[in-house]
Amino acid sequence: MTPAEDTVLRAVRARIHRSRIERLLIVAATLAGFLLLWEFAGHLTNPMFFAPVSEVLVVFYQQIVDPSHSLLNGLIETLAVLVPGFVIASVLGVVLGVLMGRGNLALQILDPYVTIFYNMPRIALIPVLLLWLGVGDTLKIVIVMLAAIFPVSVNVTAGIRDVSAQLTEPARSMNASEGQLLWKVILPATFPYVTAGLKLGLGRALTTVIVAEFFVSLSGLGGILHAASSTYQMAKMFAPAIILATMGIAIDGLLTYLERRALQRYRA
Amino acid sequence: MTAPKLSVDNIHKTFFKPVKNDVVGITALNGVSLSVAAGDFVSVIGPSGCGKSTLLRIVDGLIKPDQGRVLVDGRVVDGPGPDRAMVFQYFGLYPWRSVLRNVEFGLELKGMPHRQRREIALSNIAQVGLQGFENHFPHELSGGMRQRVGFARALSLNPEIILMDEPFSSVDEQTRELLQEQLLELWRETRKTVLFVTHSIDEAVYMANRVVVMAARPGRIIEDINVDLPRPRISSVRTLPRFGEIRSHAWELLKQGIREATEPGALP
Repeated sequence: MTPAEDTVLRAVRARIHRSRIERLLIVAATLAGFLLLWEFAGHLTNPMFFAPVSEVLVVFYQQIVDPSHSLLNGLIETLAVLVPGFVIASVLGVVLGVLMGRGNLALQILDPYVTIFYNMPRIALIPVLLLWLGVGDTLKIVIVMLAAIFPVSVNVTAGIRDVSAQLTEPARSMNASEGQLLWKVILPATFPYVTAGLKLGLGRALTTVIVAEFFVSLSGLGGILHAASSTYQMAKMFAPAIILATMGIAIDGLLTYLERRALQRYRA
Repeated sequence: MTAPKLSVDNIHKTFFKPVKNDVVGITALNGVSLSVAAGDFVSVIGPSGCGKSTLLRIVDGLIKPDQGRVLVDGRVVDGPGPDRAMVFQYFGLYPWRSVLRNVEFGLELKGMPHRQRREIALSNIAQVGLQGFENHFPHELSGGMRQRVGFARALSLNPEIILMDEPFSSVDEQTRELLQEQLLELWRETRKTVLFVTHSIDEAVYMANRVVVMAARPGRIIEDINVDLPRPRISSVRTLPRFGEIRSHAWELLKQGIREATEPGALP
């Protein structure tokens, strides 16, 4: 490399570095401004309806060190509904999606019902299911499952229908069986659609688990949130919300990472 | 005369295309017969829509003919088999598999043990000059390298007949000439029977012992030209007067076929 090129390279690197610092500063400054505003608003408004950020943090800390572990127990209760509901929805969603993607008869028969359920607000089903399944975790799990399954299945179906003949033809030419075609060609090719469906399903599952905890029987983080808000303990209300947001971001981040890794390989 | 390696016996194929609420039939192949001796290199040329790719897929067993049959060593072809392998215009590689795992794929489908298929794949990768790229992914390779992976995969199956569907149409001119040379060399070493579909008259004549010329609407063979040019085929063969004669003869036939097909009344 000539000295002139070296100088240019160094300048470009410095510029990239500078812009990265600038971006960080902007984020930090707006965050600080937002927290300050929150703090002032909290002191100026009626404490029955709002709490300053300092109090939220203090209460959050108290809840974490609280010997009765109410927040931790709430989180565990919520996860005990969310995880089985979401896992069952993922597995059944992929199976349903594969069935409808591969079989024309299955598509014809099931498509109208999937369309109805996909577009129906899940909350509308709660009263009916309440009568059938009673108030308990089973009901909540079923509701979460119903919320998450269709975004998964619809995406998988679309993905499978989208697999190009340029991927199936070589395998068929090498005498692949139907099972090999599915496992070694169609499912790998559909992987980006599966993760996209799981992300959508997860968003719905998170919303629905809280709704179920409000409406079916107060429990979990949703229950804590509801109890705090109905007794006007504003600061206490924020803790479950913060946990839920963190959880959503973490799982979404994980799926995005998997998706990006998969997509790298799919650049044909 | 010895029995042919491959014989195509009076093949008819019609495709049906939906038009509004009805379907129309398009005759892709109308009574195509062809026989190829073991170790021969036969090119097939014709205008687009003459059914040359369909013919190749019928020989491979990917498409079933409406009438007629394909015989390999006197046995009727009923679907893809280990005696034939195909090389595709679009390469037909799996983007989520490395070069090595792409070359192994056909052997994996056959259920060959891991170590054995790895050994075969490595030697075929070396044969096409891609050693050092075993762990690369298709998107990291140039078009020419991808098609060499396609060659290696076909060779790994050790077929008796290699079917090539415009294998060099997706690469640039210089790469195309290099691949042509490499293919001729591989053919000389392995003595496989090759059926080579192309839309380039020059390529068809340069590579083959025989050039089969097809016409469209309906797809049929109009002439079978014997290419009496010396081997090995090296670039200088293109400058021989005989090369020019065969080339222009094939071009006249193609033009005639196109004229007939576009005359009113000639259309089905």
